[in-house]
Amino acid sequence: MKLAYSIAICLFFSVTALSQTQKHTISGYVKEAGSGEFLTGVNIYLPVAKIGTVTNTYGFYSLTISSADSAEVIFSYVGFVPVKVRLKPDRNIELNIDLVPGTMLKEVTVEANAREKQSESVRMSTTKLQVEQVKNIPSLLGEKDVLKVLQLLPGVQKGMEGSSGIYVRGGGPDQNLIILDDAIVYNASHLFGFFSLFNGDALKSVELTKGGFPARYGGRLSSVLDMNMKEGNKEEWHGEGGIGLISSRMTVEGPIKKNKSSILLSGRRTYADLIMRPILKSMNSDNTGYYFYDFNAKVNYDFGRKNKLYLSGYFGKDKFYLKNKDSYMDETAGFLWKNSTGTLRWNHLFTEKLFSNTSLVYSNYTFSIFDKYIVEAEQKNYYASYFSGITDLTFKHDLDFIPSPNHLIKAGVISISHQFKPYAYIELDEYQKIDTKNSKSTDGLESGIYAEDTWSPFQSLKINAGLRFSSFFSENRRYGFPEPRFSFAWRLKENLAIKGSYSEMNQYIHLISNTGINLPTDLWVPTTDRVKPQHSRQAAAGFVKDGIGKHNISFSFEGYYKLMQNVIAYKEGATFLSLGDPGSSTGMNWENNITVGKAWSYGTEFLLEKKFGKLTGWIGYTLAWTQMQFDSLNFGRKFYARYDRRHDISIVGVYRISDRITISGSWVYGTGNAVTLPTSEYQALYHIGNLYPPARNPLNTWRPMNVSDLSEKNNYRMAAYHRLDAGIQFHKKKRLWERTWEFSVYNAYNRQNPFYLYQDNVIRENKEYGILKQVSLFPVIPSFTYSLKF
Amino acid sequence: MLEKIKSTLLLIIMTLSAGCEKNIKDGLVPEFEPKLVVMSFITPGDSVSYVNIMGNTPIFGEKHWIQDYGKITGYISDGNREANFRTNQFGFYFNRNDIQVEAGKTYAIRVISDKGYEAEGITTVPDDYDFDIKVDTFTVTMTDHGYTRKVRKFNAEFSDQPGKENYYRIMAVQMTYYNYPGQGPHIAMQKINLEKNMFNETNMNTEGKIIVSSNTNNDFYKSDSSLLKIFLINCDKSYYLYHKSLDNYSDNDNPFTEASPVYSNISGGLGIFTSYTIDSLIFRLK
Repeated sequence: MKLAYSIAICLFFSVTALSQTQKHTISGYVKEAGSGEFLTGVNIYLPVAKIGTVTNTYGFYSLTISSADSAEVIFSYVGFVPVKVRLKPDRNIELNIDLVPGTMLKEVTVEANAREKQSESVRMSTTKLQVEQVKNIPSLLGEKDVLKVLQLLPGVQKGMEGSSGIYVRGGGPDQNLIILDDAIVYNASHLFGFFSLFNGDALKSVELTKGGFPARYGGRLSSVLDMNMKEGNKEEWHGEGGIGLISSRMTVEGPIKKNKSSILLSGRRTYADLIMRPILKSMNSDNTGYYFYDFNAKVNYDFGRKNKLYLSGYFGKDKFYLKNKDSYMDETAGFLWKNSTGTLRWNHLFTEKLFSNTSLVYSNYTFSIFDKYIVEAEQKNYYASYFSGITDLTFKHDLDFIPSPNHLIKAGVISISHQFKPYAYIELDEYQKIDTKNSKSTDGLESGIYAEDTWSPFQSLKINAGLRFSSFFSENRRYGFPEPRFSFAWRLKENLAIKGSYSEMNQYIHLISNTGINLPTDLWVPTTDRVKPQHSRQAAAGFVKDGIGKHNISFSFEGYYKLMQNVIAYKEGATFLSLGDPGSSTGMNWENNITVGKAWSYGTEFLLEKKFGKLTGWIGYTLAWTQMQFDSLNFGRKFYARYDRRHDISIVGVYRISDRITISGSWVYGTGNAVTLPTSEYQALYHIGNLYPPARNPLNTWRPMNVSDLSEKNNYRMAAYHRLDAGIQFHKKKRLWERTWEFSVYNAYNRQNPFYLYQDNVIRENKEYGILKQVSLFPVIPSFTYSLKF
Repeated sequence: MLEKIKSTLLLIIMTLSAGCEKNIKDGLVPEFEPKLVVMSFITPGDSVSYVNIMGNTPIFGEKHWIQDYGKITGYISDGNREANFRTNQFGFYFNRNDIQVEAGKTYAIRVISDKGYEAEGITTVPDDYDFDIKVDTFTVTMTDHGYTRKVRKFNAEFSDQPGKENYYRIMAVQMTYYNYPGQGPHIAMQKINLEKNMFNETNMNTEGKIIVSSNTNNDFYKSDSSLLKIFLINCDKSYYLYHKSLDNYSDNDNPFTEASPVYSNISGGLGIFTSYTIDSLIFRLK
């Protein structure tokens, strides 16, 4: 904390000392007109002086200019009508701007858009998703899903069919830092990974960083997905909702005190269980059920220019259950998992150049399996429950210091108190008189301190340089590492820039997962004295070309190389189910069942993107390799990761035919997953030796075992994955609300994409044949959704 | 009407949850490559060493349980001389008159079929070393589901051979002698199932020792006498990796585990050619 302030203050004095002559600062907040929602990433630009800045996550900006600089300031943001303001910079000026939403598809040709270019930004490997764009892209069962749209970007792979898990540049799903309003979300999926936790109606901004990480981010190796919830309309009450095939959602927002305080409430629930229950009852099989729901809430209070307070929370739960009732017993068993987060944030403006955010965050993830029954005759209860989870309490303090248009300095500290509960087991058996409560929890303190500066030494060069120092206190050991971060953008000419970045990351918490499918049984575990932190080094380079053709198309190319060390995996043969007996005194020892190794990922990514006009969308292509090596897997030899995908193509298009009709489509292609398949079988001999009195018959010194020759781990490629989704939306403005009917088709040409493979034997004409079978999950699936906005 | 809507929705949901299955075409399944499978575990103490030679069989396509690999011959070499395999009713073998297996020496085998299949392997016999095996027994009282019982346990410890990369396997047998009235003496041989039986130097404690604990077979209390025999196999790395892989073997049937292959050090084929030395200790329990 002290170090961060010292760095910030040093930078403050050094930089301001150089720039004290006749300078004045324009600062303020940029909001959405009509709702008062602060806008993130708005460009503020002085065309004559050719200097500018952007609003931070909380809508704040600060721009220090000389009195001689142009007095015309342009505020622009994708999807909003740009605003030009003339002013006389003879003193510090507070200027708050309300931007009016305009159609984002309309061609905007004002000069302001020159600033909304990737070639102008020092960041690379970063994508900002427009939440409205997510709503236009067709999806499985009409459930709009931020994570599934991210899967359509280069460098981001999906896991299994339909899964919302993301694999970024060869990293595992645990290597993504998923943040919702500063709170870390640990299991970001519903329905065994088919749907993500995030309700698009409640989201304001979504930004994914795959590399070139600024120093403000840390704790994961592969990506940062930073999402912020809407604050709630401060001017009038509004709402939106939708009815889909498997779930419905509703969001309401409005002022508690006009222009001062607002609230947002958003909820979603599946109703498959409610619909199916009476039907299954009539079929005498109403003994199973599944549901999920989630709920977002946010309330804020604006104390004025200097102080703003936000309180937000998320709660989501999935439950799968089985019931069995007969004359002997009444039993309920199942499993559930739930996420909850809560964030209290305080924005404070020290001066027009120094902004701070302080957050207190609570985050919890719990998974449990339960079984309870009552023996009717005995009237005795049995109850057993196994659960695991992680609970975090976080303190975070960030400073934004903007001494001049050439410098944007960020510094801060974060401290997370983790409580890991790899397992807890409770068993109460009144019949057998068992009363076991066995639980293991481990604490860990993860901290980080950082400072970074985005510096423009001259107009065509931008540099972001920073240093983060991260540390972790486990029960028996302390770890601490410096993490240098560097990126630059060098504009060679108008609209063309080359970029490069280097970053080192450490990850102190790990997910041990069996098969790569997002099961809630995956365990979050800490770094310990035996299990070291994961570490990565990533370098990337590329170029960006904006403004191609009259449609202002952007093209980017990036190449990257990433080395990940101390990556963990289950040892061969180990599973969540074989970690040990949770009821025993020693419990489940995960440390004995994992192996540590390293992974490499390298590749190139191409992205052609059109953001403006009636037709918007992108074409992405990734050529990549991901290999892993563990001492205890594949006999220490390298192997291709399950989600190593050589080629990955995505084409996404949204075409607004008129104000009433929008059509959209996406097509994806990916090299098949690498899986392990046997190539032959043979009899192996397990050596017993001469245990008993000397064996003259060698057959007594070994035990035969029929085994398959699996040659190498992940030796076989499944068939390539490809799929076309299409959708059409009909919008209509009614007197009080606007409604949208959406019809969409998932997997339009009914491609049978491989989900998993298995080997089977069949008899044909008295001969036995071995066959390989492919199971596909989703055939062509039409769906419809009714949405309304008022 | 409402019921009809519900039924339709149910149908849709059921359709979603139903997977579609199809057979992968023959040309796209993993290709079968015929290979010789060679298995041999050699140790200096054996007067006869067997070499088990078979072939692999295809998994996909028409099953042929016995592949024709032609006439097979082979030999073992210690670098200076070679000895062709002999055959008897148990298969291929060589004896110590052909080639003497000695600790510290490297041996190679080569198997050839007249149909063109070849396989070869190499192993270095570990040192013959006195590991100073010690056994200690103790009795613990255990409570299980409300029942209390006494269990006699043992600790077996041995010293790791310093300065080398070592691999060990431990086996234990309990030999119990009963003299039933009217039936005469009876010897029961029982293998003790150890929780862990494969070790390397990473398992040693700060004193350079590896300790193994297990229960004895409690029945010996009723016997006339009982002996515990500990076998310490000081093995080649290939022996260790091969048996560990057999212990962990999973052929992908369990959706909760990744498939784990069986180790092989036979180039051109499958199987294992490996070696070991043995140190042992007999401990009288009663």
